[in-house]
Amino acid sequence: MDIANYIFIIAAALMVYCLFLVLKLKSQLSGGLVGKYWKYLTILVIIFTLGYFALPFFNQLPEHILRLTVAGVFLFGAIYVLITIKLIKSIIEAFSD
Amino acid sequence: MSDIYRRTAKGDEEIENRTYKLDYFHRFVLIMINGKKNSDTIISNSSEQWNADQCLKDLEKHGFIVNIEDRPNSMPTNSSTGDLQQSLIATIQKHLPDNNTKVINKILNADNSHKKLSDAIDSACIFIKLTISEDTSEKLKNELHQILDNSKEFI
Repeated sequence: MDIANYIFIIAAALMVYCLFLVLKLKSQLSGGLVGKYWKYLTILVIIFTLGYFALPFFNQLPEHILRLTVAGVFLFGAIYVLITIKLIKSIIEAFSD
Repeated sequence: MSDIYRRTAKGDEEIENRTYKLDYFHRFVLIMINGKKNSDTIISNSSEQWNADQCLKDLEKHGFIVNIEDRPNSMPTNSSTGDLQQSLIATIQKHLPDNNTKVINKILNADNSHKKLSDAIDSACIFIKLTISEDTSEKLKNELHQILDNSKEFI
């Protein structure tokens, strides 16, 4: 197994832990500013987790599908960062009100 | 038959100074005692996890409250601080019937001063705004500050 595979396994394990954390915290957030963004973060973490587990099968995909998948990962990654920034901004605003 | 309790001097002292270091659940129940509400009302207004029925028995056994059904001539208690906290908690329970323990704790943990209680209200409302509901947070904040401001006898 080459070093890339080890990195994939570590990444997948970390993402499973993220999924556990995001679902655990979700039960404490019935709504509010954080709750509003949290459901989007949860959906994205689920998508990423599924994507990480599909990684071993990516070499069987046609090239154009693979390019589309990578583009999708970049898109969802950017959305994730956007939501995180907006969440932090909302929290700062709530404390400064 | 449902009993009516009032706080003793020891109960008032515990509310104001935490001299006897009661746990949160006993303290919640102690704060709700006002010499008017009967035990059924107190139990129904309490969270199930507080085990209010047992708390009432413990508080009576240790002299924090007395059953005024047994003592018809007992004098009403003077406990403006406890009454203020109690009315703040009742308002919180009205707006937030569930998941209110952390919010109530903030009020209970505030020192007996206008400033500290005001800070506790603001802090509790930020918590509600972030994790429960923005609308509820605004309504509750206005109502709690109104109660605080209207409390003339509070020092």
